[in-house]
Amino acid sequence: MSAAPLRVVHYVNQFFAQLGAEEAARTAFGVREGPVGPGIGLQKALGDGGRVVATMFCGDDTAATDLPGLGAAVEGALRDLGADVVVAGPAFNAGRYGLACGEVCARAVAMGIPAVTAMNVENPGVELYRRRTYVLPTTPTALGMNETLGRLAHFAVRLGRAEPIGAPADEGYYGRGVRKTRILQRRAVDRALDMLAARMGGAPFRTELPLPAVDRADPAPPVADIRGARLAVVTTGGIVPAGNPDKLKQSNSTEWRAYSIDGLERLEPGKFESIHSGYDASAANADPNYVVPIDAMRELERSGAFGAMLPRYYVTVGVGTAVGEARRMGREIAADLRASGVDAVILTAT
Amino acid sequence: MITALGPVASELGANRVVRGVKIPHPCGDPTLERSRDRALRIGLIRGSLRALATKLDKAEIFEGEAA
Amino acid sequence: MRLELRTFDVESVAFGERTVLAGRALTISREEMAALAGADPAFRSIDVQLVRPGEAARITQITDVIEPRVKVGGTAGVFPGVLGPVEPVGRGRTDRLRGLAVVTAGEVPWLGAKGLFVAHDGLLDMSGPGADLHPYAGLHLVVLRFEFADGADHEACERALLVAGQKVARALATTAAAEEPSLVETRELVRPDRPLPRVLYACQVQSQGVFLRSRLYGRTLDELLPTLVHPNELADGALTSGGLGGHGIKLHTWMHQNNPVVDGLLARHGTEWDFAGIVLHRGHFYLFEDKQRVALRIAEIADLLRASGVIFTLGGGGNNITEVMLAIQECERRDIRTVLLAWEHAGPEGSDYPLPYAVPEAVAIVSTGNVDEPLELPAMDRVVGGAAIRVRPEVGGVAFPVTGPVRLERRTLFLGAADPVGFQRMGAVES
Repeated sequence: MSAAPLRVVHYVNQFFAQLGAEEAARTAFGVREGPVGPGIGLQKALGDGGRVVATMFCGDDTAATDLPGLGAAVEGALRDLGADVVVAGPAFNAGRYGLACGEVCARAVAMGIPAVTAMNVENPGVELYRRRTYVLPTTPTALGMNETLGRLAHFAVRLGRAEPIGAPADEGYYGRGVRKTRILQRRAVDRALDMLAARMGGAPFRTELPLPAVDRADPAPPVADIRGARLAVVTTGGIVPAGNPDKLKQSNSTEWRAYSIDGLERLEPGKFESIHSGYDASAANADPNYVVPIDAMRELERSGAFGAMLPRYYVTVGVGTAVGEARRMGREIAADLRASGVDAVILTAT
Repeated sequence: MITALGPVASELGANRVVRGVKIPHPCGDPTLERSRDRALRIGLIRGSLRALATKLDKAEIFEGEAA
Repeated sequence: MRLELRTFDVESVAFGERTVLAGRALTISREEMAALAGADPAFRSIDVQLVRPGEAARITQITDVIEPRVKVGGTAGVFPGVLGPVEPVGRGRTDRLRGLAVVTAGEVPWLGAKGLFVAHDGLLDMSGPGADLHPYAGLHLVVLRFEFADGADHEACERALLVAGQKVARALATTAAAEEPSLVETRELVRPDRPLPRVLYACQVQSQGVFLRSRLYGRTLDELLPTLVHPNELADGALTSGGLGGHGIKLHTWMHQNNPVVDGLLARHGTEWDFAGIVLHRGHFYLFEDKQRVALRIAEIADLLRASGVIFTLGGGGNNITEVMLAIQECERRDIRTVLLAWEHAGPEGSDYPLPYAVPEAVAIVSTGNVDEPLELPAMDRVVGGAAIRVRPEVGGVAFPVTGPVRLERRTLFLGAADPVGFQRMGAVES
């Protein structure tokens, strides 16, 4: 006995909703009954497995310039539509459309409705949304439309029926950036030696660890008036008051602390110590200013090289600390610094 | 950021980097006589202040200032 | 350099009157081993215990694992520079017991130490999910469990453990003398009879102070710039471990003796490639320039030897990978192709940036999995060691109970879990 067709809600941009091209890019969000544009092809590919009951649409500019707004509109619409699964796009190489599709699906997933979209690997929507929803690869242009609609339909039916989805490489979606340790068929050494043999022979090989892009920020604008600036020191070198009163961890940190240097001309050995487990702490314990250079900063504060020191410094420990934790701690410390009127920070790393 | 691993830091997203001395003591050199060590540390902070006041388009590694 | 390596399989181990191998049954005199191993004044007591392969046993506070080996005939002995004089090894005849390992263990005193130079405690399960993570679950283990004398300092403890383990390992291997080996191999880097691509193995170790040292012919490698070593030298124990930190990621002496990258390169020498040797180096230098020096030496050695490829493994975590990555970069710039075998640090969810440092040239990586993943271990029937291990030296120490089920927030406390030289079948799968 076959299951009832799934209720599928589709999302397209203004162009695929047949409302116009670039001139209609500021079309407001709306919902229409049934399939529109490529939704008709999607319906064909779904067959009896699903019915495109409604199509959400929005102008690419409207969407991309206010993704949270789009998300809120999508949430409102989906609450009334009774969707079993949401399909967005495909967006191919269209950047604004890709972001919109990603946001639509991410919102659906957050509401508990499975969702899938598709776009080309170059589309910025891939990197931003592949961790929050399923994103299938496509050709760069809409030449691949029919084939992509077929894959989207098939994937959507499996999602709607709550079938288990396997690994990205097997199922054909962009990896969600999550890596799990598993027992594989062959020993790691044999995999490595085979990879070496392949490289020696010029044969194709596939790395087991593609390196993700590094998260970079543009340099902040320079401090306009350094002689009047308020400065603070932040360290990952694990310098804490002697006895580690807050029991900061020696590695794999999840916490940071701020300690007072009010009235201190320098960090006195014996009053401060290093609890970092990744470097020889003998120099830092003999003179903590080697890691948190309060003595030099006080001298330059007095001579007017900069305005004033914040009367505390911030500390955590590196050593195996997860980047995600470091990012969060960084944001929290930055918020504290901003609230304290700090203009610039000297970070010290070990 | 003051660090001995300047190129590592700048490649990983630290835009204003000052070359520190060594991993266990980035802001000084215990092999130096006290006053020279102190001058070195002051030079590192001066270099840091200069980096903070410099407009940058991309990451750059600065040296501490000589005494 | 030609070595005849004779393998004697051990299938059962029991205590008895004398230490003797009869066929594949080894009997060990507890008193004899205790007397041999426990003599150093750094020890207050020694207890010798046997653990069977696959036993529901948890062993704590392991300090090294060593395979019994002894050289037969000639003047040189195994573990040159530690147990005996510095002499050429890697030639002649060496007997080994397969299926058995000597384990040194004990609660090495902290003496108030924190940070890097602390004897960290770890644990090892011989069955259950933990058994898949390390190469010892199928072995009989002779566990030498020590207690330390008051007044024994860190250096004394480290030295005592090093010598004790090696002495027992050598003594046990002498039992093979009257028996017939199950396997005899000739290990030699014969010149290939046709042109084959040359490959090197860049083997990183850790050596930077007490509890973190490796030794080559007995000399610590704290000041090592990369050097070239023949695989047979590793077979005869020229490279030994003294490390007591980072249990999940460290290399025991057993791993040097049985390095699977070495064995694999040897196996295909003369058919797939021309294995030209091991570039031994240490990581975790404190100066960026020193890391560059290491990287250049590895690449220039490879270039000088006309190598076409280099395979790399790690000797430690954190910034140890910087030397390796810089070396990979220098090799690839010289058109020398590289492969890296390494574990990941991808956070508890597996979603974090997986390596502390990387270069774009590292295009060929084999992963042994994510060492940050939590590990749930069931209770074991037997614990060889105390009821708790010590964690958190930075707060003066906290007892972590190990007698019941154990949840490790990450794998670094579990011996061998990072699989640094690829013995096991672990990997990471993207999901």
